[in-house]
Amino acid sequence: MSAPREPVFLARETYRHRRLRDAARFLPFLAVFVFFIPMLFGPEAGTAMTKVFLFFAWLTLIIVSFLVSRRLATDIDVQQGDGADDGQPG
Amino acid sequence: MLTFNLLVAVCAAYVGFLFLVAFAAEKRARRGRAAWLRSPLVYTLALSIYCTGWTFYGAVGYAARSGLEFVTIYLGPTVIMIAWWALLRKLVRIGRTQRVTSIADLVSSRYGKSTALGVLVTLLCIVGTTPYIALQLQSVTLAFAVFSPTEAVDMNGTALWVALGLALFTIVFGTRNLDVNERHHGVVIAIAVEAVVKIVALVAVGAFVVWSVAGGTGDILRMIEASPIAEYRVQPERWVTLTFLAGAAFLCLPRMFHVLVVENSDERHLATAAWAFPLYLLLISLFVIPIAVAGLAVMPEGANPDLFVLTVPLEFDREGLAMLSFLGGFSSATSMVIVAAIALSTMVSNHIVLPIWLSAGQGGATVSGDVRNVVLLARRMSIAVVLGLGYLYYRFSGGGEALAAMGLIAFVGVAQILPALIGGIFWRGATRIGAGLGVSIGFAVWIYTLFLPSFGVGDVLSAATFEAGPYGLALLRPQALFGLDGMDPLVHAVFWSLALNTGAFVLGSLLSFPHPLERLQGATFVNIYRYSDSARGWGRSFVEAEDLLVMAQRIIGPMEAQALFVSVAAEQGKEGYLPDVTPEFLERLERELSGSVGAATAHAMLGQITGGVTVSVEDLMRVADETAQMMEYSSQLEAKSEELQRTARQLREANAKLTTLSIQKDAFLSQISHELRTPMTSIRAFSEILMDGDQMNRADRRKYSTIIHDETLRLTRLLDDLLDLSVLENGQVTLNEAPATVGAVLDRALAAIESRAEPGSLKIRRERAREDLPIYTDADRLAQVFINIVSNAQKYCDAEAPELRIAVQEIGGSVAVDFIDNGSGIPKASQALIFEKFARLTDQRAAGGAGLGLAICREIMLRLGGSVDYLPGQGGAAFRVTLPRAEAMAAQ
Amino acid sequence: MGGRVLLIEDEPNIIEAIRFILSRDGWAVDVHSDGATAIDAVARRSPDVIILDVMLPNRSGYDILADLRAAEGTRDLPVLMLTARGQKQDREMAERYGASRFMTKPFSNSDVLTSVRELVGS
Repeated sequence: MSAPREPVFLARETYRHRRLRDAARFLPFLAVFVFFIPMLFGPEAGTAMTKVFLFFAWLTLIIVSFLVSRRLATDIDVQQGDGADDGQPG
Repeated sequence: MLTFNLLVAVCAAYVGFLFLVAFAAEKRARRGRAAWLRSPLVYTLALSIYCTGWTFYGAVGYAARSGLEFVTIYLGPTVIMIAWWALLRKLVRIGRTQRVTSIADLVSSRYGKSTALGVLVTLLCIVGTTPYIALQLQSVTLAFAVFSPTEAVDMNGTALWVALGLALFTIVFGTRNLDVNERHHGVVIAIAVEAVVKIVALVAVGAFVVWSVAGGTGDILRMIEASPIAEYRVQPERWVTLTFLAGAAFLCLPRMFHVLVVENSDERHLATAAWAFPLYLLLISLFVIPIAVAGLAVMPEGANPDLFVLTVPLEFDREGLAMLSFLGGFSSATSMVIVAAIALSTMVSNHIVLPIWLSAGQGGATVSGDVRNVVLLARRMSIAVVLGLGYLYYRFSGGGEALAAMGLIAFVGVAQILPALIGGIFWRGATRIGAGLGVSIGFAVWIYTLFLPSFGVGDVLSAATFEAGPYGLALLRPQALFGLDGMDPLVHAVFWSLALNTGAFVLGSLLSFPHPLERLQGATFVNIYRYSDSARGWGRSFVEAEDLLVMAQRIIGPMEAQALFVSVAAEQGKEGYLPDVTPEFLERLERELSGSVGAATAHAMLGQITGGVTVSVEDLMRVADETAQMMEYSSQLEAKSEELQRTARQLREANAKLTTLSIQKDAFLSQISHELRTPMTSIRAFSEILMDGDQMNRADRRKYSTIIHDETLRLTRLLDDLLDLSVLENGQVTLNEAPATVGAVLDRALAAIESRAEPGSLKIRRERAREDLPIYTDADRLAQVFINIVSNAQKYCDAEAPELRIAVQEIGGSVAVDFIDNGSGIPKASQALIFEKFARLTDQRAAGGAGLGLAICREIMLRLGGSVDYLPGQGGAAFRVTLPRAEAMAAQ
Repeated sequence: MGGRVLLIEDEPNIIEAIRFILSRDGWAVDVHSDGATAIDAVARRSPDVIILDVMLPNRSGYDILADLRAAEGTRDLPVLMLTARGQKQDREMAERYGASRFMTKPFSNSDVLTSVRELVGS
């Protein structure tokens, strides 16, 4: 009985926020992918090189997580207690 | 040279410092200034209890033996933290709305508040955590031994002292009170401080190695390539398994769950921890390889690589650095043990001790006595038992290699909770049967394939069992289950335990049928963002709010319970302490109680009182029927219907009050007439007798004139009261307000009562020490109120040895004076009436009052800015006089 | 004259007054103060006339009167109703319930005496 009352085309700001949440959901999969890359390294890749790669990738993930989470934190502020983020992405 | 004694002194000073920090934090929190104690930074630092003594010392040893593999232990949690939006936020929301106290509580609560599941998870956690605590004790004693190579250290003695100290700290700060939210400010701050100490220590040692032992970053990379560690190549199956395992353990370890979910005070803290905690892990692991490489290069052959963090600085005579490093390791070990003990003791007391106590105690919640004391005692004893078990395990396992491997083995153990946990919050179809089967099978497989073999060949399991399987059944060889041979034992155990666990969980869930409460909880947990504020479970029942208040007071404390009941009553639009017993109210009460004693126990206690009324068919239909759900949760509708309900309730109540008032108005006139005419009748009759009584003797004459005199006084008193009430009601009264103390006014009131003719047998008990509270009030009027209440008790308290207790306390910004007698109290139906004019519960003529006393008291208190209420659920009749505090008045 | 009067009333001073007035005139006065057991008292004492107060502890005088009028043995027993409320509807109530006579407090002593005499004489 209650059809989604949202407009078909969302305001740019809302649209960005929806995609931001998608990014947050996607990020752990990226992390797993990146962390498993060293398994593909050949025998010539030494510990030092693997280590440099891993820590560089790790730091990058932390920075991306920082950028995404910082903006999502304000989302929680606004929506604490409701289910808006479970709505269908527009 | 650092002596052993100096080390002990530094350690003691450090522990003393932690006590002070924790104490100061508790004190601040009690004064309501806990904001900064609960910052995202503190939350992130508290999460660092993931890095225990095992990781602090052991990571370097791990790296020296297996190169980069150690880093997987940190990659798993990084992935989990990054997944906060979809995963952790949900857990934390569930934890907060359902007042979850531990991981066992979450699982038990999700699967229909099942006691059996709570016990199972608790046992699993104890078995998984005990060796882990032993490991921490070992790491501290080994570190002590490093500093005293010459003198033989009594290792067992050291471990015992450490265990005792930790038990004391945990009992003092972990069981201070039964927080409704199960949060411990002091402990959290102390472990945050320890988190800083350990990262500073490890980074300091690392920086020393990179820039002092080696010649900078380029140099250290060359050293790495030249060391034996360079040989290490990533082994894919171990790499994947360990990353997964670390992530699973990060969620399921009791201590991690406690900090991550239970101690979380704000979902937004996750947004900070999402990047800050991975950064912490990165910093912790950044220098592990360099330290391992340097250790292998400079330390003599055969040196224990697990202790490089200590021995490398010592080798270069950097004693200060070594001391810092020692404190870092000490911090890692102690903070882990403290939180693990708190988390475990909560589980043991809520899921094992309390259910036993409840079923043994004939009616549990209805038995007299304070349940809180039982809970606190159970917690304290559990802490002692948990640490005692850790110590015994340390003693009898003999330390060494077997124990060092224990870290990962424990990870696999607690990871058995993962399927039930994740399935529980994302899959509505998961059932209690499935979860129970999954966890028990995983638990059994873990014990058989990993835990028992960890004691070594020929110890618990015989060599023959390893070689050919138990009773020659080759399919059941512990490290090659079902013929899966040639696998790494850890990978093998993880594979089989979790595969069988998940399989049993899914199959069990698909084939079993959940009972109603499970289905409700399932829907609530999975759709937590929609159901955020309510877990349905209580149908309408016919329980008295007063009984509930009596029970709640014993569990969460009188002040908290009364505040809760008053606020619920106010939300329903009612006055006083007793709200309507609606299903919503029961759910809220159950959640509040479960914050203290766990979901299953709280449910059982309420069940005892409400007669086990749980889920009605109606409630169930609501959840099962998707359409109904959409209608119900279309938010405007809900808000409106709630508003309507509230208005209707208020109207109903107002209407009832009006009807009563109009009846009372009529009755009032009749009453006044009656009250005036009765004494007049006697006066007239006796004056007529005296007028025509010539033959009357002297004694009779005297008797009859005395009656006339007394009745005249009665009339005067009645008129005084009526005038007093009318003046008060019209607000024409002038108050002589001045500073006073509660004690002084009480003294005056009681003196006035004693000076009266009849002394009365009422015994009055006061606590003078607590009565010295400053108030700003009209002392005469207040004394009048006190006199009235006390003389009521004198007249109506029907106990054999009547006794009145006067308790003074501060509640919020007010002073509350409670008068509680030991009589049979006032029936509920009359409680709302006694403050009305001419309200009489018994034949009051004998008592000589006109029934205006309490009405006058109520008016006086209204003028004085306070109130007087009947306080139900105290045993006898109880009245509470509430007054504003002196400062509060001055501030106006 | 003379006979038995049962006084159902709970104010001690009023009891004292009525007892004095009636016994001076030769009446035997029994007193009962509780509403709930008043009917038993009537059966036990078998009085010639009853003086009944309206406001009694535990049971109202009207209810007692209704019971008396409903029972075979006491249907015609003379009852003098006393009330301190003295409003119009009280008199109407008393008549409806079948009171033989009705008096408002405060009463004059001679009125009480006259009423009791007349009720027994009739």
